[in-house]
Amino acid sequence: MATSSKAMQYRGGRMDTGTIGAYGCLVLGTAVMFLPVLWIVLSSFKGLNEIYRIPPTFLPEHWITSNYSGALERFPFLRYLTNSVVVTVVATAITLAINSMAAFALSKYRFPGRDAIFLVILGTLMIPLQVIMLPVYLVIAKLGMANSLWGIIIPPSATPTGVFLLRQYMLTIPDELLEAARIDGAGEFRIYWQVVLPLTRPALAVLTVFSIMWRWNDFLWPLIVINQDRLFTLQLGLARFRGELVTDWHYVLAMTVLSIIPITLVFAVLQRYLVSGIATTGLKG
Amino acid sequence: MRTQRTSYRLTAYLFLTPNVAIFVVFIIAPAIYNFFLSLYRTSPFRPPVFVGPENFLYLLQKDDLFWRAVRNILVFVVGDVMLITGLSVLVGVLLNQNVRFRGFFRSAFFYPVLLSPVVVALVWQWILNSQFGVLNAILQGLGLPRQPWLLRADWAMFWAIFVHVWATLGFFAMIVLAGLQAIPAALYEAADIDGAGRWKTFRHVTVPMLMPTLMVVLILGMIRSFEVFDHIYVLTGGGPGTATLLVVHYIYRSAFQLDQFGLAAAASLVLFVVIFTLTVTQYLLGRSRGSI
Repeated sequence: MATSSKAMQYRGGRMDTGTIGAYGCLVLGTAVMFLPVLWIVLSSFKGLNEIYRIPPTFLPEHWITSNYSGALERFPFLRYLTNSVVVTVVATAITLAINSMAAFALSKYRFPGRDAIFLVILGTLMIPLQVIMLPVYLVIAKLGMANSLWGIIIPPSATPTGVFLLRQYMLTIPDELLEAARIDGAGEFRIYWQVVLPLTRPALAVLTVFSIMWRWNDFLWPLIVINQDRLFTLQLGLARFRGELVTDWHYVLAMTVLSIIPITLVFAVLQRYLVSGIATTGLKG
Repeated sequence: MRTQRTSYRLTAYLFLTPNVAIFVVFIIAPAIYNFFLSLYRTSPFRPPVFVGPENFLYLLQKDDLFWRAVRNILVFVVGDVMLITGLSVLVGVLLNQNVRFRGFFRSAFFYPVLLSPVVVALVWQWILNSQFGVLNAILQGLGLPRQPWLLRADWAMFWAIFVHVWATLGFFAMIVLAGLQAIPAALYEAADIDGAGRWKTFRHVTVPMLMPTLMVVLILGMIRSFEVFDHIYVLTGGGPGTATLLVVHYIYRSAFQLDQFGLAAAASLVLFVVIFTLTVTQYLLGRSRGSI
């Protein structure tokens, strides 16, 4: 606390003790947040002998890539990767479609039960998967979706946060635009598709980034739904290597690094949507 | 005119159908189903028997593992939420400073939020590994004794909390940062004109104006903390022994490993009541401040 108060400075420029303290904290914090990831990236390029050496080397003595090629050969990494990509892409497309349709109905039509439905949708935020995983599994099994990628894709695709985010955004679109389109003879679906959706693009972008992140990183849904190796997502595949007794650390490190590359790229390109999404709605990261 | 309005109504329901159907089938129906499951004794070989509150009584009176999980989660939540709240304010304030490379610092603090729980757990397992981990290597280099970090109960709980804070801090810091940026600059100018120093400005302008945001961080942090599973399941597997077995892990274990459906459902309901209470509190606080 003391440091933060000292570091308070509303007009920058001067290098006083407070500013130096702020830089110190920032550099230290960045090290704690970033070095662990850098460490596994560096370790993934070291030979088996080198990663187990004490004292450890920081940079690899010899940069090798055999951990990567070995991991690809020995584990069905590409299959896991394919499953993860399929789940992420299909689920995100479905989420965008059905969430925006629901948001459109809730923001642009008046009908009996509208507010009640909206409240119920928001209310489901209080029921996370963690408290209904058993009955959800039983339902999924009954519908024959256990051990299928659909079982991971469909159930979490109707996100309350997505509906909320898009509805709030669509409320700002003037109804006169819709009326004008109707006078021009546009059908309701065409109004949704060609008038409202293009104007909702910024909010759709936020939801896209979050959906990609949720799906790519998801662990609990696949853990419950899938128990066949060929249907494993990357996260399930990686989680098999937990524990102190793992002996294939060089492969695990390589696969871990590969699994974070896509999400890092998405972040690099779409960072501003992520941050604005959290800032405006408190969307779960 | 009348028929046209009716057709709009129909259109609206059609647009709502896919989303609402999924909600009903995969959230609302299971939630009700869960309530009934908690009142039955089930076994893989016999039809379920209605037993009323027996599962709850068993949980509360006889089930040592459940109480263990409750004690663990309380320790976890208290540690996790205290650290998250304190550090997110510190980091939020730091990232709001007029410093060079501010964009870089913000990204760096946010980056772990992107990582999956599995990756987070693996990264830290690699660092904390008792034989090959870099943390023990550093300790040894400094002449300090090596520690079996994840193999000793107290250390394992400490690292469970630390790793979860590490993974989620950036998310909460961004919320604090947004809250800080929403404070009108005029207030700071007024404080400056009145000759308030940094500490006084922080204490009497920033803190009160940030209060609604802090409540969000506190309650959202508690909700997410009570729901924790993946990070710790992969990091420690609930161990050593049951030292870091948390409530959701207990539910997972009863439901999918021990086939004790009734107990799993009853424990789920207990957890639901906690999360429900927290969410309603957050909603009421938000509404009384007009911020939702």
